[in-house]
Amino acid sequence: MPQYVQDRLNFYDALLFLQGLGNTVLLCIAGLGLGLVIALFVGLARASRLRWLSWPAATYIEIVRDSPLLMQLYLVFFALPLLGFQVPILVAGIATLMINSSAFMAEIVRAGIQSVGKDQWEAARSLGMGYVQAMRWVVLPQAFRVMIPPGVGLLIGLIKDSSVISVISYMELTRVGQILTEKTFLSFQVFGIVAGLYFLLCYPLSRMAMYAERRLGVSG
Amino acid sequence: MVKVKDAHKHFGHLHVLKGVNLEVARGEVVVIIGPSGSGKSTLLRCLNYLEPVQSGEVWVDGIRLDHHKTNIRQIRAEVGMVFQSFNLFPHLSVLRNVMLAPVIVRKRPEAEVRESALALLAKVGLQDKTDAYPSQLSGGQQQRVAIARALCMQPKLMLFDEVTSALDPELVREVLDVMKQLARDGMTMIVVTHEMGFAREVADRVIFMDEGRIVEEGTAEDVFDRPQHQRTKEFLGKIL
Amino acid sequence: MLLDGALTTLHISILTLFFSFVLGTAGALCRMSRIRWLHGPATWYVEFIRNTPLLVQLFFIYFGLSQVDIQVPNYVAGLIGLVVNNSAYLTEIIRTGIQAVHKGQFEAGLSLGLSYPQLMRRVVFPQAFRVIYPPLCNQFVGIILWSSLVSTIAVEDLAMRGKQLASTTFRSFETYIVLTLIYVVMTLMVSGTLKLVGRRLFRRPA
Repeated sequence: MPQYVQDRLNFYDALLFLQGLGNTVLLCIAGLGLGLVIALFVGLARASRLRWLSWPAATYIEIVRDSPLLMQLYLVFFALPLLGFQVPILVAGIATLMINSSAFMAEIVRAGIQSVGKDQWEAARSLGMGYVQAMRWVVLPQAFRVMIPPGVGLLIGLIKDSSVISVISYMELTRVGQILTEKTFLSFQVFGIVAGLYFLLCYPLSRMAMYAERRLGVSG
Repeated sequence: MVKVKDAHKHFGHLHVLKGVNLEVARGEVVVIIGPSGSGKSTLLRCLNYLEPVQSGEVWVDGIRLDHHKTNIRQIRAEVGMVFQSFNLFPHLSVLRNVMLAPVIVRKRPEAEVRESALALLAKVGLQDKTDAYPSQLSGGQQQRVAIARALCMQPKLMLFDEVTSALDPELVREVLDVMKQLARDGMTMIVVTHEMGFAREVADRVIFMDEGRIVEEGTAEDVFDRPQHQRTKEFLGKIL
Repeated sequence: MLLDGALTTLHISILTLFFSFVLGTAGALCRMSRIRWLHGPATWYVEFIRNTPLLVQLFFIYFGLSQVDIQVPNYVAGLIGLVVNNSAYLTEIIRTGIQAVHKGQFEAGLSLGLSYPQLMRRVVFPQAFRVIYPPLCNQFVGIILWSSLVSTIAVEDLAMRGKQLASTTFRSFETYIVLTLIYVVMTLMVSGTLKLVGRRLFRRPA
C-alpha cells in the first residue's frame, strides 16, 4: 500500500497543534484545580500538630514526590480498570496530574501556613476565634500571599509535566508532535513548534512569578 | 611611589572623585580623613585598580595603572590592601590564608612561604593561632591576620581602608599597634581612618577629603591644630 | 531483571549529573559574564530549557538526530537530552551559589594578586559549594526520577524493565506498585546518604 508521507506541514496540522495546545491547557487546569483542593486539606493536615494527621499527610507527600510521574501515570492508568470502570484516558491523565500536583502544592500550603507568625494566631484566639475561624479569616489569607510565587512555579511545572500524559496516547500537545513527526518526519520543525508553544505558555508565567516574588518580598 | 593626577571617577551619575591630585613618596605614611561619602575609600581602591578612574592618571611604582599594557596582577602583588570587613578566607586556616597568595601568585616554594608566614604571624602576635579558622577568632585577631596576609606578599605599598571601624573598641588598639610598628619599620602606607591619635603618632602627612576633593593637606599638627579651611574645621569639630 | 534496570537508571543519572555539572559551571560563568555574546545565549538557553518539557526535549534530540541521519544508540540520545536539560537548572543553582559568596572575598583575592581562575578555584568555589550542595542533591534526585522518561525512547532503564515485566506477567498494577516503591526507596536512600555526606563535608570548627 503506498505510504503517503507529507513533506511539509500544512494548515490542518496547524489546527492539530491548536487542538493539542487546548487539550494540554484542559489537562492542566483540571489537574491543578482538583489538586489544589486536595492540597489544601493535605497541607493543613501536614501543618497540624496532631500526629495522626500530619504523619499520614507527610507519608503521602513523600511518596508522591519521590516517585516518577511516569510511574504514577501507569499506576492510575492500570488501577482504574481494576476498580471496574473503563475511564477515558483524559480522566486518567487528569487524575495523575491531580495526585502529583496535590503533593507538591501541599508542601507549599504547609510552608505558607507556617510562615504566618505565631502572634497572628494569638491575636485571633484572644479575640475569641476558634481554629477554623482563625484559619479562614486570619492565617490563610496571609499564607496565601506567600504561596503565590511557588504556586505559579508549580503551575509551570505542571504544564511541562502534562507532556508525559502523551504516553497513554492522550491527544495533548506532545502527542500531536509525535503523530505529526511520524507523518512527516520533520521532527526538528514539529518538535520545535511544540517546544515553542510550551514556551509561550510557560515563559509569561515565569515572568509573573518573578514579578510576584519581587512584589511580595518588598511588602512581606 | 604613588602619583595621582587629576583623577575623576563616577558611579553612574554620582561624581565621586572630582580631580584628585596626590603624591606619596616611598616610606611615607599618609592618613586620609573625611566624612563618609567623601571618596576616600574610593580613592584608595583606585590605587590597586579595584576601581578604575574614568579620567586622570594613576601611577604606582612608576607604572601607569590604566595603560592597556599594564599587568594589573603584578601591581596588585606589590600593593597590599587591608579591608574594613577583613575578608579572610573562611574555608582556610589562618596559616593557609597567609600562605596562599605568595605560593600561587609569586610562585615561591611552600617551605619558604611557610617560614615567612609563621614569622609574620608571630610579628602580629598570633603565633599560637596558626591552625585556627577565621570563625574562631575575634575581630581584632582576624584583622591582624589580614594584615599578615597582605604583608606576606612583600608589598611595596600598603593600603588600609577603615580597618578598625568594624571592631569593638577594646580590639582597636591591638590592630593599631601592629600598624604603628609597620610604619616605624618604614613601610609606605596610605591609611583611611577615623583614628586621630594614630594619625598624630605616625602620620607624615594628613589629608582631609570632602565631597570628592582634597580640601586640606599637611602634617598632623597642621591639620588638626591649625586647620585652614572651614570644612576641615567643621569636620574636626564634630569628631574631636 | 529489575536490578539490571535499576543499575542502568543509576548509571545514567550519575553520568547526567557529572556532565550537567560541568556544563552548568560553564553556563553559570557565562551568565555572570559581562561579555554580551556569552551572557545572552546562555540566558536564552536557560530560559528556553526551563520553560519547555523534558519529554519534548528528549524527542527533539532523539528524532532530530535520526532526521539528520546521525546514528547514536538510544541511551546516548537520552543522555544528551538529560544533560542538556539539567545543565540549564544547574547553571542557575551554581550561579546562585557563586553570587552568594561575599563580594569582599573577591576583592581580597584580587588585591592579593590572584588571577581570575585562581580566585575562582581557591577562594570562591569552595565557599560557593556550600550553598550549591543542597539544591544540587535535590536536582540529583530529580534526575533519577525524570530519567524514567528515557524509557519512552526505548532505553532499558528501570522504568522500561518494569514495563516489560508488566507486559509479560499481565499483572500491571502490582508490577507498577513495586516499581514505584523501588523508586521511592532508591530516592530516599540516595538523599539520605547525600545528607550524611553533606554533614561530614561541611563540618567546620565553629
